[in-house]
Amino acid sequence: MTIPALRFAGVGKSYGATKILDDLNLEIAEGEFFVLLGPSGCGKTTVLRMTAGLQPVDRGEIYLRDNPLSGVPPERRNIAMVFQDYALYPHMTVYHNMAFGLRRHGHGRAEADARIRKTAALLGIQPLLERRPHELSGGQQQRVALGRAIVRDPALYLMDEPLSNLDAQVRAGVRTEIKELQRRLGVTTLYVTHDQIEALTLADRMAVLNEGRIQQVGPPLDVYRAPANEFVASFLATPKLNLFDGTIERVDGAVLVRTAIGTFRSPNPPSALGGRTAVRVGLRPEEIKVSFALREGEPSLAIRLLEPLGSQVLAIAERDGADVTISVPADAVPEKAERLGVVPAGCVVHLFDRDDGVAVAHFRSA
Amino acid sequence: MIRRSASYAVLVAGLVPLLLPFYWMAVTSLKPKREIFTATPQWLPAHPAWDNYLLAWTAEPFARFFFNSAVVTALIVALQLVLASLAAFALSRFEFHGRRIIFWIIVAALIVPVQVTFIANFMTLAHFGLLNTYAALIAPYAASAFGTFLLRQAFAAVPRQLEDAARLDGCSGLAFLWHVLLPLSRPTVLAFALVAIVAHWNDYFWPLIVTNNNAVRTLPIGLGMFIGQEVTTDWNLLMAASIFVSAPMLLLFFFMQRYFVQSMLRTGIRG
Ligand SMILES: Nc1ncnc2c1ncn2[C@@H]1O[C@H](COP(=O)(O)OP(=O)(O)OP(=O)(O)O)[C@@H](O)[C@H]1O
Ligand SMILES: [Mg+2]
Repeated sequence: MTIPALRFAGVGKSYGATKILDDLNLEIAEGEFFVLLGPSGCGKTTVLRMTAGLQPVDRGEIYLRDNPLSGVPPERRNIAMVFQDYALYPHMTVYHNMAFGLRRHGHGRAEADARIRKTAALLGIQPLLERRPHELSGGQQQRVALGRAIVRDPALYLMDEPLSNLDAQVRAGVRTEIKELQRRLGVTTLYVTHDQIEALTLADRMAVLNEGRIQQVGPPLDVYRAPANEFVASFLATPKLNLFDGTIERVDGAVLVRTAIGTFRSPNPPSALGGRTAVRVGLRPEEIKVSFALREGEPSLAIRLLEPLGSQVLAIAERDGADVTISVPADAVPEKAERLGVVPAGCVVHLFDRDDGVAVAHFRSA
Repeated sequence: MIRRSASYAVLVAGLVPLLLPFYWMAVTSLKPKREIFTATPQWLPAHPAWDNYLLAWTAEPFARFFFNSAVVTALIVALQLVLASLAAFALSRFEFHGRRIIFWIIVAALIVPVQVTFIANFMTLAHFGLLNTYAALIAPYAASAFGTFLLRQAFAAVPRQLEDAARLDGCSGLAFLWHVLLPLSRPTVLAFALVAIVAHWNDYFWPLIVTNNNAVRTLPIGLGMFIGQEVTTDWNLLMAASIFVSAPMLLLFFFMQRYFVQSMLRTGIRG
């Protein structure tokens, strides 16, 4: 059995009477890129600050390679952090921003210099070394912030939404870069974000955090395909998860799920369904199959709005007061489309318990 | 172009009344006695009397006064900077009981006119037998509410993430104050230091109260004695002595003006 690089064991945190984190348990493997995904204010930064030693842990313990961290001051944890606002020292050049931590950790001038040159070359920031942070673009500042972490050669990187202050164009580029860098350096990374795309693209494994609890842990595609509950499903849906009340009928060994927008058939009844007759049904916008070629008398939905996103179009449709958001390839949408029909076969359907929202089944309708 | 010349005209118009007294002081200090009171104003001395400066310098122990002023001002400003930095550091970056109250007491101290404290301070110093010492000149001013307030505001504006980053870099506590907070607040520190230097270099009233001995008297007191002593005042020598007092400050501003203007602007914006 290998020792996890980082382990949270029953970690809890409260501010006064407000519980921010409740019994957090996680294991992150050596070299893994682990993403913690959660909505704003769910305690992501708090998790990182506790790991870095900037904030005390109220309950439980955090282990770095099996060494308990409580009582170890931040500078002795061998952990580097990339901050949301970069937190570069405004009065120091890029060079000294990187040198500062090295020098204070007792590295000699020559060694610090060698490390800085190497890291700068790795990140392509050699021409910026003599500049000050305010003379850099957002993307460059981001790169310097990464450099300051990398140059320390720590056992663990913590990254707090490092892309959230970049504009969309730069963001995608830097995202790829971070992923490649992490692969290359092989340093265990705990990355927190509220952006599902970042989580899906970057993570080796990810966890979804909400209301102080881990909702689900796993490889990103597993989490995406089989969300553990309504919250995870809706958090991993853009722009939103379509939710309907559904009723279950069992016909000839198959299961029929009836909803306001159509009936979906699962050929082999999922075992977790049990004896339920009522469920919540979730369909992501991109998981609904539609057709614009409608036959006379066929049930259909009125299109309220079409939002072109480039290659995809978001169709907001409605039927009997129920709103549905569907993502359709742009070239499949005829001009002046007014109605669309949901194709019952080929949709990805998620079923949740009506009371507690826990997932009971996921299937592709036939 | 026209607007530009117009604004220069306004500036010049404003400068004349401001600079005229200085000019007159400088010119008078160089005039021989008979050129001082003339029927028509004499804008330049006909026969510059350079030895006025030597006469003035030796008329009173100005060398001693100069040294005293320099020592007292330097120590006051150094103490104020050290104490204000430490107090502002605690007030801006640490959580402790009574923090708000202490801050408001300091703000309240800003409102109290310094003259109100004179009698109490005088009696305290007299009680300890410290009158006529450097301590009497320095101690009452060692801590500055104004400086503490200014620095607290500047320190409080430094984001928490920067403190976090510094802690991970192995820089916390006083090292953080020294390596991050103070350099980042340099405009505020400089502006405050300049104001304090000028105020204490020029201070007249307090040194007058606690000194009656040339060994510890400061420049402004020396200047005052110069006036009081002569029956018929030698205005040219008095003006030369006035130059001793004002020249160091003028030089200071001349060399620091770049920082000074910048500092005032920045602190102005920060409030
Ligand atoms: N010092 C504090 N005192 C009281 N409450 C705090 C403190 N710091 C954070 N909180 C609260 O703790 C919760 C979690 O904060 P945290 O900064 O960890 O959230 P986050 O997930 O990083 O949010 P975001 O995505 O906005 O950065 C928030 O509700 C916040 O209001
Ligand atoms: Mg945060």
